[in-house]
Amino acid sequence: MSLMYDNLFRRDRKKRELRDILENNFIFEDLSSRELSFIETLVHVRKYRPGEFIFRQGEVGVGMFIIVNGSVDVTVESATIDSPTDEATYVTRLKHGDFFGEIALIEENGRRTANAIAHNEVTVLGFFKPDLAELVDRNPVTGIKVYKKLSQVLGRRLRETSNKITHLKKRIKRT
Amino acid sequence: MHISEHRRKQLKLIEWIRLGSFIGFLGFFILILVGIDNLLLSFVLALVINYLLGPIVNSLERAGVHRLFSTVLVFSLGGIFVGFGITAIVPFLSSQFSNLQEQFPTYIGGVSRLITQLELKIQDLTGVSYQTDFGLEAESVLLGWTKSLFTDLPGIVSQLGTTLLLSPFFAFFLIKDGRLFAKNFLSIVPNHIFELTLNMYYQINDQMGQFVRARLLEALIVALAVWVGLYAINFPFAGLLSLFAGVTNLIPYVGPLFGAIPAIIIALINDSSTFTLVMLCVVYGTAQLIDIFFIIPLVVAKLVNLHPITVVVAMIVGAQLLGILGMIISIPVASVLKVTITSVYQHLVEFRA
Repeated sequence: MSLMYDNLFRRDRKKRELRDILENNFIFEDLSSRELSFIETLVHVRKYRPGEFIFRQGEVGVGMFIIVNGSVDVTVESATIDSPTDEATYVTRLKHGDFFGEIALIEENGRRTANAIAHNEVTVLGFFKPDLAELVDRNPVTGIKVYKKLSQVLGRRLRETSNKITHLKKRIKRT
Repeated sequence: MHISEHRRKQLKLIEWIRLGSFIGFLGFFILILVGIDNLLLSFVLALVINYLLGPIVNSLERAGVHRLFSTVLVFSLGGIFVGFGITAIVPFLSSQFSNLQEQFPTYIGGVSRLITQLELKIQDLTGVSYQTDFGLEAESVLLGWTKSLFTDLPGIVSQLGTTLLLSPFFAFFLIKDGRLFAKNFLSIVPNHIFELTLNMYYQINDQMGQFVRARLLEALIVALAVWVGLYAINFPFAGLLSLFAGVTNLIPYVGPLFGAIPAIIIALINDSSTFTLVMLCVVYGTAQLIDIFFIIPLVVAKLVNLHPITVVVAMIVGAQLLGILGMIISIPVASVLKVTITSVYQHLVEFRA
């Protein structure tokens, strides 16, 4: 009975999980249920094995990822992509609901500034430039809402970077 | 995060297996498309309809109409429009066609006479005489061709009927669920080439859409210009000749020349005046000037820029493989290959810092 229940409702459960992730994501949180349904048709579900690269530093990025299951390690290399990854510096570990790579949605041929590597079995939702372009083409009102949220994220990132630079300059002055 | 050498090799192997399966699937799909009768032509036509009607469906969806309703509405209106078009144009074209069929033996006799006259002139000039009568041989060959053309016509029409039924059916679902098909196709792409493939897919799709819309608009304008010109000088078979000029205009470089040949032959056979011949050149020349100076810079300029040698080689290969259809689709196929090769190159060389 339980097996049958699983088979019958697994698909719905997955759909619900996907909807929850989108609803709770900063970029899509202002969207209505109808708009979220449209976004669901655009996003790509991707699965990665432990140690597999989601993207590599230096590659041209095409979009952002939202973590559905598992965790993702972000590392930075000082050398090029072809150098051994063992020398990469660990930056942070992203978990369920976190998103990364969103700058690639706005930047023209912008390169990834870090590696994103699956720490364990990872499922992510991918939202890419062509998806955003299609959203704007077919549903411009929703497109503007997403762009507004993206600009807020970028503004926040810019402010954080400015604060860090100011902090570092102060530290340099003190020493 | 430290990844052991063994794990790295394991992941690499998985990547290769996924890539192999993906290429295998793609190859199988292409094989089915090419192997089954009428499927490739129906698919190509469905893509053309998709590129033509897709933007209209998108703009209706932008206005708030559900995609299914937009697609049904556009297809219904398109069907009515095509239906009326067929009812209006087909009797006119078929009367011209049956007229042409009746007069064909006269035209073939005329071609044979022209060849014989040319042959005699060459013999007079060079002083070399030979036994073969090229005019007579050409006449028998042309008669054979036309006989088979008119007897094979019902077969060709029924084959076209299958294609004409299948392609709107495919096109409807391509427009309604195209996004879903693309997503399902992209879901089998291996992780390490996913972003590259996704980007390439949309780039190719976008360029093909622009290409198809621009070339069809170009063909339509050229056909209209030729029709207006031929009608103005009261030349016979203006409808058929302008349709032919529009279709052949889809073939780069030599297409416009092919398009003008039947009209010139008809004029020569009918012993038309020099004035009519000059007017014919003016009509076809003006259509080409409109194409070169207005349509190409304004509409076609955005298309993939292929080197003339690439265009000619692609056309020869296309003609060898698929005849006239091959010549017409050779340029978009070459453009797809160009985008694919450039993107893969960029991914392998430039994408990686």
